[in-house]
Amino acid sequence: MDQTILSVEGITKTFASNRRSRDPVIAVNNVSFSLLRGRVLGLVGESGSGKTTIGRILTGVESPTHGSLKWATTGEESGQRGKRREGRAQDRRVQMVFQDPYAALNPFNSIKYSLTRPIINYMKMNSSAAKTKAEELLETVRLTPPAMFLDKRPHELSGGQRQRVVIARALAAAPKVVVADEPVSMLDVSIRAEMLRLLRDLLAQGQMESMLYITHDLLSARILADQVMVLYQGNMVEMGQTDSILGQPMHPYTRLLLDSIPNPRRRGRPLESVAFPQLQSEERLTTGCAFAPRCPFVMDICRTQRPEARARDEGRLVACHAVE
Amino acid sequence: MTLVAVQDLSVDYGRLKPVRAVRDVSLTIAENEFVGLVGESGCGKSTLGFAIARLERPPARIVSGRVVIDDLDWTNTDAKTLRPHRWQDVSVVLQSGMNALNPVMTIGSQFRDVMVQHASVSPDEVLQRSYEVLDMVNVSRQVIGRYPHELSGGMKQRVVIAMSMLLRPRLIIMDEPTTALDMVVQRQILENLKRIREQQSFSLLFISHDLGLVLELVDRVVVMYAGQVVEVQDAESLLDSPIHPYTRALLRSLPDAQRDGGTFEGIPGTPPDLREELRGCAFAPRCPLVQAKCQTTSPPLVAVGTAQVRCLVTSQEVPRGSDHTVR
Repeated sequence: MDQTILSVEGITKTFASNRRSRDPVIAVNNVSFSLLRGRVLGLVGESGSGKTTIGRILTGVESPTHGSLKWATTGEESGQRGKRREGRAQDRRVQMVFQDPYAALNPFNSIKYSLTRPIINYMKMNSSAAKTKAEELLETVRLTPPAMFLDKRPHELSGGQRQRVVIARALAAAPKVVVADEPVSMLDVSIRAEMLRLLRDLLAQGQMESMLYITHDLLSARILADQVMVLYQGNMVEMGQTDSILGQPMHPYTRLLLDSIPNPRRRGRPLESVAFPQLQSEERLTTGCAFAPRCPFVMDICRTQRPEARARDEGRLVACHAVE
Repeated sequence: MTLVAVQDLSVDYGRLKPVRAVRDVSLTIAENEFVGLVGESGCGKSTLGFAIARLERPPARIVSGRVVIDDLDWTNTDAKTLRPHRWQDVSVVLQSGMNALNPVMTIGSQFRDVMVQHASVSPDEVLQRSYEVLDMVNVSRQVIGRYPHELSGGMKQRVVIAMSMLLRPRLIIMDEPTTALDMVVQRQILENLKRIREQQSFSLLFISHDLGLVLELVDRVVVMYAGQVVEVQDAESLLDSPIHPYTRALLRSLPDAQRDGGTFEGIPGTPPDLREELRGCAFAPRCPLVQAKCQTTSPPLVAVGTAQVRCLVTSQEVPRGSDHTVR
C-alpha cells in the first residue's frame, strides 16, 4: 500500500478582483490529492490553470483561501493563514526547483554561497561542515568534481549545470517534498530527459520523500510522474496513472493537450481529431464546466451544472458530463 | 525557383577574440518553401536568421559571405536602401515578438503604421487587409481597437504573425515563435500556419530547437551544430533516415506520443567553444560513431542522395533507399 506523505484537502485559492472584473479570480477550485512516498505526481495544464498556485501553496508562499495541507506522519495541518511560526518548518519540508535557472540563482553569489546558505539556515551547521555538505550535494546532482564548481558564479555555468545547482539547493534543506515547477522548460531538448531522470534518481535514492512535478508538457510527465492530474482553470478535470492517461485520455481537455503535442508523423496535415475552437475563448463561466466554452462535445447541462469528479476504472477520476 | 541564397556566410561576435557563431553557412530557400532551422541553444541558428534579414547588431558582424534575396544582395546594400524591402519582401517574427508591440498604440494603428510606411493605401484598404490577416491567425477582428496589454501572450504572438503577413512578404523569418507559449497555443499557431499556406504563398524560415515541431511544419530541415550546417534533408526522409549522428541524436531525444515507455534520450556533453578554431569534426567529442580521422580532418558538407551531410563516417554508409544516387 502506498504511504501518504502529504495530503492536500480541498484547497481553493481566490485572488481579489482587479479593476475590470468584479468577481474575484478563482485560481484553484477545490483541489485534493495526496503525495505518496517515493512517487511523483504530475500537475499538468496551460498557463492560468492554477498549477503554479498549487505549488506555491505547498511551499507556503501562498496560503489557501479554503482547505488545508495535512502531513500524514504527524497529522499536523499547515499552510493556513495566521500560522506564521509554522511557516519556517513548512519552508524546510517543502523545497522548490524553479523554472528559470538563469533567474533562480543570484548572479553575484558563488555557488558555494548559494548552497551553504540553506544548510547553515536550516541545518544549523557551521561553515566548514556546510562546505563539506555543499560538496556532497554537488556530487549528488552529478556536478563533479565539486571543487571545480564551488567558487564559480552562475554565469560561468551552462543552463543545465545551473539547474543542477538549483536542485542541489532544494535538497540542502533535506526536504520531505520537492516541488519542481517546469524544471526543464527553459533547457535544451537535448538535456531535458537527463534532468528529469536525475530528479527520478534523487527520489529513488531517498533524497526526498515525494515530488510534485508541475508542467505543461504531458509527454515529459511520462518520464517523471507516476500519476498525473490535469487542471483546467483551477479545476481538476482528470487524474490517473500517467500511462493510462496518456494511452487513453478521457476528458476532452486532456485529449486537446495530447493532440497539441508536435507530431512529425502528422506532417503537413491539419489537425482534425479534436474539433478545434476557432477563437480561443477567454470566457470564464461561473456556473457549469469551465471547459464548456471550448469543448467540442458541449451539451446543455455543461453550461449549468459543474461536473463532479467521478471515479472510473484503475483509480481514474474524470470530471465531465460527456464521459460515460 | 530560388528566393533566398545564402553563400558562405560567417558571423562573428566581437573582434579581439571573436566568437564565430556562424561558420561558412550556405543554404537556399525556394519560393513557397518552408525551411526549418534546428539546433541547440548557441548553435548559431538565431544569429543566422538575424544575419539573413540584416538585423545583426554589434558586437555581431558579418565577416564574409553573401545573402541574396530575390536577386538583391542584402549584404552589400545599405540600411536605407533595404528599408523599403522590409515587411514588403522580408518580415521577421521573434520569440519575444509579442513584446515588440508598442504598448501605447492600438493593434489597428500599429498595423496601419506598417502599411502606410510601405505602400500608398487608403484607410479602407488598411482595414480590409488588417481584417484579412487577423482572420488568417484566427484572432477576433475586435483586437484592432485593443491595446497589447489587453491580449494574452498567445494572442499577441498571433497578432505579430498577422502583422508579418500584412504586406504579403515573399519570405518570413520566424525565430522560436512558439517557444514562450503553451502547448495548446503552439498547436493553434502551427495549425494557423498550415492553413495560411493554403491561402497565400510565401517562403518561411522557421527557427526552433524543437525538431518535432519543425518536422511537422516544414518541407526541408537544416540542422546546425557549432555554427555549421551539419545536415540538410527533406523533412519526410529525415524523419525516417537521419544521416548525421547529431541529427540522429536529436531525433532520439524527441518524446514520441506513440512510443511506449518514454525512452527518449539526451545527448551527453556540450558543444565546443566557438572562440577556438575547430579542429576536426565539431561533434566528435559527443559522437557515438567517432573515429580517429574525425579528430583531425574537418568534414566537408557532401551530398548523400538528395541530402547534404557534414560527417566523415555516416556519409560513407551504404544508402538505404534505392533512389539514392550521389550527385
